Amino acid sequence: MPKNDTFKTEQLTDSAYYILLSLLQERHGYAIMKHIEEVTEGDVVIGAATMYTLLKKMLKNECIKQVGDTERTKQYQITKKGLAILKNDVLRREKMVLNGRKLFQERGYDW
Amino acid sequence: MKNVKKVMCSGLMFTGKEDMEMLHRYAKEGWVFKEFKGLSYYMHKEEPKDVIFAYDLISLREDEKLEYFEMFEKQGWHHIPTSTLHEGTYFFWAENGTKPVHTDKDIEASRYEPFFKIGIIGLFIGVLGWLGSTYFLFGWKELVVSALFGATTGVALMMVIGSVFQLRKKRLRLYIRFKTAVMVFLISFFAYIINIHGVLFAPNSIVRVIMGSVMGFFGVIAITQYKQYRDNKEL
Repeated sequence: MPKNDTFKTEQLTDSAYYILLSLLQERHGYAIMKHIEEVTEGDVVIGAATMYTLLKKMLKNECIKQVGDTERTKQYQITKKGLAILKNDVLRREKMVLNGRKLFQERGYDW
Repeated sequence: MKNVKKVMCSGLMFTGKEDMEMLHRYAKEGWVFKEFKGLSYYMHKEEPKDVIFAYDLISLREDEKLEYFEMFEKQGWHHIPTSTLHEGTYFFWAENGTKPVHTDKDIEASRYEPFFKIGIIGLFIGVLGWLGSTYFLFGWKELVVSALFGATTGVALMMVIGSVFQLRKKRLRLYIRFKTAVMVFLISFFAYIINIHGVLFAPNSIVRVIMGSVMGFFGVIAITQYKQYRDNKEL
C-alpha cells in the first residue's frame, strides 16, 4: 500500500509522527521544523516541500486544524482525531522498541 | 549578452538531480542561475557563490502560494521567479549546507503523479490525431500534421515512462546517444517522405503508424539529448 494512505491506515511515517507530536502545542509551520530538529537533536529533518504537503494532508484528514486567523502566518494544532492516531502510533513504536530490546537480550547481545 | 550563459533543460523528471548539481558547479565558477525561460536555464556572470539549487513540481492555487513560498524562505530557500508558462515548476537557491526541500521519498515521488495522467492523455491525443491525419489527409499536409502528432506521442510516451519510474522512486536514464537518435530519426523521416505516395508500403498500413511513432520518439530524444552531447563535446 503506498505510504500516501498513511492517515487511513493510521500508521504514521516518521515525518508525520513528529509533526503531530510538535502540534500538541499550537505552532507556525516553520516553528514545527525548528522544534522537531531541537527535540531530535538534528536526527529528524523535515524539508520545506515535505512539510507543506504533510500539513495539507493532515488538514484534509482532520488530524490537525488551523488556529488563529492571521493573514500571513498560519498556526496549526492537533485535533482529537489526530491525538488518537498519534497515541496509537506512540504505543506501536514503543512496542517495536520493547520487542527489539527483548530479542537482543534473549540472544545474549549486549544492550 | 556575453554575460549570460544558456543551458537547455532535458526534463526535470529525467535529469533533475543532475541539473541542480550542474547549476551548483556553475555558480561556484561565477555563473549564477537567475532565470528559467523557455526550456533553458539562464546563468548570469557574477562573483562565484557557494550556493545550491532545488526545484519542486507542484500545482498551487493563488491563495496557497504565500504560505508555500514563506515555508521555503524561512528554511533558507529563495524563490527564483519564472514566467507563468512554467506554472507548477518552482526553482529555489540557498546557501550550501541548507537542508534539502524534500526529505520524504514517498511525497517526493507523488509529485510526478500528475505527469502520468497528462502523459496518458497526451498519448491518446497523439495516437488518435496521428491515425486521423494519416486517414484523412494526404501528401505534404499529412506529413506535417502527422509529424506534429507523432512528436506529441513521443513526448507523452516519455512522460508516462518517466513518471512511472519516478513513482517507483527510480529514475529513467536514457542511454540512447544523441547521434544514434538523430540517425534513427533521419532514417525514419526519409523513409516516411519517400513513401508519401505509398511507394514502399501502403499509405494507411500499420508500418506507417510505427514509422511515425519512431520518428516522433527519436526526434524528441534527439532534442533532449543534445544538451548532454554538446556538454560532453566541450569537455
